[in-house]
Amino acid sequence: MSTDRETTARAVAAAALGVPGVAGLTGGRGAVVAATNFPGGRVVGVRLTPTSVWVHVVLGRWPLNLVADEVRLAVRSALDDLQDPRTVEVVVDDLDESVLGDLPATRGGLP
Amino acid sequence: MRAANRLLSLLLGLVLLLGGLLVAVEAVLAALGQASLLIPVDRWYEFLTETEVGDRGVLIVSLAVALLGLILVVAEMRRWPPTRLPVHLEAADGRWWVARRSAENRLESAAEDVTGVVGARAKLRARQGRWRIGVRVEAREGSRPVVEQAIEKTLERLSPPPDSSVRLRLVKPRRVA
Repeated sequence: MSTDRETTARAVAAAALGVPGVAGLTGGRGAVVAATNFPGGRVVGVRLTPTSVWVHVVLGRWPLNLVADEVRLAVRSALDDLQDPRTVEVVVDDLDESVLGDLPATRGGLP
Repeated sequence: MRAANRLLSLLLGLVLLLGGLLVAVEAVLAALGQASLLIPVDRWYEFLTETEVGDRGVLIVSLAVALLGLILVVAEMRRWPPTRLPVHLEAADGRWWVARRSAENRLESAAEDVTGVVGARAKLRARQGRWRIGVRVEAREGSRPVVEQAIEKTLERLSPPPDSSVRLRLVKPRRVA
């Protein structure tokens, strides 16, 4: 790894939140909050392990596979910029009913 | 759940802290030959040295502890439903998952939105990368095609792995007085 935890977690969170259809990041549904802790703060919704980067998202668009794949690609790109080879694991923890809408059926760029 | 866990951890921490402090104080008092503060040390000593293994109380407590241990072992060994389900992804790098309860909620809402459906309960499990979906719907048999359609549409949006199985069970709605 060529960068510190805070930089990685913040870059991953920004990349995920930049994807249309992502309503937010969440601490997950388990007893332990999915977050990256570092001196002076933490990024909720991003968990770093030695081999993977876990991103816990709340989605507001159907179908899930398109949005989740866009999240994975965006996070992958952010990690590549940081020269981080870890794999990306996207967890759709919740769906935001208030903004839930359909994407066009075809792939190739989200609106 | 998270708040309850924190509260229980806090309580346990406080009990352990106070218990530890009490034992430390009692130990110092005993070393100095002073009378104990809260723990009736003499009575406890007497009870513990005079009680035999075959005593009824000892047997009852032992059985209760053994039973509790057995319950804990069974609870640990039981296969609990997973918190998240894997979703098929063709890309070599990375995967994505859906929170099981969230997907179950969506299926239940989809079924309950159908006219004539009184209630629905969905159960999702994953085995060998495939989902096993069970939906129990309280509705008349005539609603089956519409409910099936609603579930199918929701599943398309949830993107389960290919070859996932769906089992829909309709039960008669209970009469409301």
